[in-house]
Amino acid sequence: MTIIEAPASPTLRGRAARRAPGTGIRTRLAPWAYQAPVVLSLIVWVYGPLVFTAALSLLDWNLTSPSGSFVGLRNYRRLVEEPEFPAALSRTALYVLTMLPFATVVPMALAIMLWKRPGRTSDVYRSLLFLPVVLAPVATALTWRFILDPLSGIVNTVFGEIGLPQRDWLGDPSTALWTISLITAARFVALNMLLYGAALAALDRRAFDAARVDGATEWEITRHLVVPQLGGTTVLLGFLCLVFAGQWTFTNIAVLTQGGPVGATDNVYYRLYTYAFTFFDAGTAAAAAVTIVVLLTALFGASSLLRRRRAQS
Amino acid sequence: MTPGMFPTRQADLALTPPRALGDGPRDAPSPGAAPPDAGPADTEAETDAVAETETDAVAEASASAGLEASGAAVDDADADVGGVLLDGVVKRYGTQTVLDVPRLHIPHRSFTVLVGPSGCGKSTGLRVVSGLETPDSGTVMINGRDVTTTPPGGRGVSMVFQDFALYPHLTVEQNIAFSLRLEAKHDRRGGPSRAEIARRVTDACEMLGLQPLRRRRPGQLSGGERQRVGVARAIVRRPGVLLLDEPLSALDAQLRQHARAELIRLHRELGNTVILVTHDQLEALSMGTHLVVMKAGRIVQAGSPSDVYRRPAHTFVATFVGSPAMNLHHVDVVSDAQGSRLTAAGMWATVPTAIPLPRVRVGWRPADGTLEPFAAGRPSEPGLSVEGTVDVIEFTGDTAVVHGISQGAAAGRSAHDLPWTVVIPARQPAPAVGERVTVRVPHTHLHLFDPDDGHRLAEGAVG
Repeated sequence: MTIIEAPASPTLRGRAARRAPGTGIRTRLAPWAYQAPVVLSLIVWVYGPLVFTAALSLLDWNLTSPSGSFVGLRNYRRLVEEPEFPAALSRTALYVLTMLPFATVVPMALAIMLWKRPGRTSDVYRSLLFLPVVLAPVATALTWRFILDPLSGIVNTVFGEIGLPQRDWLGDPSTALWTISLITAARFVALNMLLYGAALAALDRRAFDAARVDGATEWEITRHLVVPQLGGTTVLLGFLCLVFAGQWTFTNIAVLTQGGPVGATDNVYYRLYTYAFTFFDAGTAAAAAVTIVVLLTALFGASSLLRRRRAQS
Repeated sequence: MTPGMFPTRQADLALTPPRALGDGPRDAPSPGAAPPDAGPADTEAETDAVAETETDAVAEASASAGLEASGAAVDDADADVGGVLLDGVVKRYGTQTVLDVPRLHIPHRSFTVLVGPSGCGKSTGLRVVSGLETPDSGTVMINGRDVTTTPPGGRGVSMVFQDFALYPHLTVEQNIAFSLRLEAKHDRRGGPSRAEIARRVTDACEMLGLQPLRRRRPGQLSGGERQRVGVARAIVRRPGVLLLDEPLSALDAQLRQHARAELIRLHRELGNTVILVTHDQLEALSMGTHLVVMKAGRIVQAGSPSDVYRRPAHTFVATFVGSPAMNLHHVDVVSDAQGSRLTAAGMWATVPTAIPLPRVRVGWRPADGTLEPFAAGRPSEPGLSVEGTVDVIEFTGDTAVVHGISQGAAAGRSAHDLPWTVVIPARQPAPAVGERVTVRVPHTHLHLFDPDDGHRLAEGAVG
């Protein structure tokens, strides 16, 4: 038996070798084929437009004429010299700062409270909080216009009844930005709460039993065990807020204030939109877009550098 | 009137009354029928008796020296106030009663093992002692103090969890220091100082060989290392009672044996009360000075490991404790002045006592049986003989486990296979598979149980 089988085995091994990965032309091309859809769509939808925008930022073009004229860095100079863009930039930072607690601390507190008291009531409460997340953004914004109407809106009616000051919330430059921040925050608080809920569900409850036996009060368990273990989620959500705060507010600004009153609610994204579709100045809009990308990239680089350095020490 | 202490022989009468042979055949005494005069003096004597039994058990059951030392500690002067006492404790989840303990005293400084199959309520019992669960009724006393409503942190207990439940975001030393830091924060004057915390954490780390791992996080540790951190975290508080919830089940077999010895040594060094929960009967027999066997939320038997092993109070204990499990057979009984004859298919036995029941269950440990070549006819001396055929032989190193089957129809009953197991020394020549053999068991090593409720019949037939 063994003698007859012996010569057969090299043949088998040879066939196996031909099929081994990394040898045939097909197997070498396979990884590229699998990646192609993603790579291509990234080129078409992300990196292509990015390069195109960078090129556009050097042109003076009104979106309608067949071609623009090269103006070098004039668009960038305009962004820096005119007061609107720097003002919009600092207001964007203000938006981020006011919305940051609603992206992190508030949903974390809500999630922990719901997590500590599971049951039907908290399920209902969670669904109610989640409702704004799934409503159409423009419809929500229009609803807010009715709610916040200075004369007939429910907010001022209620405030009047209980003796709180009535204001034109969106029309008054001193309150407009905070109002936009709050109604934007109402959209994502519940979403972030769900993300915190997922992180909480992953925690080992037995460690909390251990802490109880160790003498920890419920508050100390929250303070020393739960919150620190939500750190990763907090960093992620904080970063998402930083990146997306400007975009999240866009719909509300566009529908409710158009950047006013007197630029009080303007941010860089709305400013960019204004340059392009109000002033038909594609070059300046592109320059603004490039500036935003550069600033965010710098922020991201700095934060990851910081984190790496902290991890090392 | 103080009922029995730890349910040793006498108190365990109250829990699981073995039927006195002279009594009526079916009327079991009610569980409340503990001797009313079992005052502290009696109990002391009982405890002494347990300690003595233990001492000779140590020689025979090859238990470690640690058992002996802690067995002696039961005689401690404050034994009648110390330890843990569960009195009328009932715990229900919904309509299901998961724990129902009329009375259980776990002596001060004992190493008590709660053992039983999963879902028997042993872990719930431990959680009730720790305060993580509040009983629906009843009282929990720890070292003479009623702690039924005291939160876990205020009971002077600490706990090692099955999967160790370490704080994943804290380093080893932060894990161990956690309770002490809280104590310092809660009680700024009386709590431990920063220097004391550091010293006690170092002591605990040294005791468990964790010094080189102090700055690691749980995720960077092996299973055995995590277990040691769990133990260090528990002992750093110097608890009066140390609770261990299956602390070895997450370890691999080799490590488990090592950890078992370490826990026994730890108990000897710390000298506190230890309650360990396990489903592993070997762990239960080898580690504890006291054993509590549980089933379906109730205590089936409590006593020293050797007592539980030698005189199981119930067929459940007989089959659960000891490996391979005790052989049990239903037999018919014919009694006369000389004693009783027990018969079943392929089996007969004579015992020198009268048994007032028409049927009983007779049990014998696999190690108590001796294999002899098949011989027809009944032996003259009292004892049990089983005829059978060898089916499977397991070689386990020092011993061989012989599985056999007896066949045949008892009078008027249908024929069925009747399996049995005998453990023989491996040096002894083993029978061949298929060989006909006779197993003999001396009558002093027979255990008799009520065939209906499984309770042990009182002594007389058994040594």
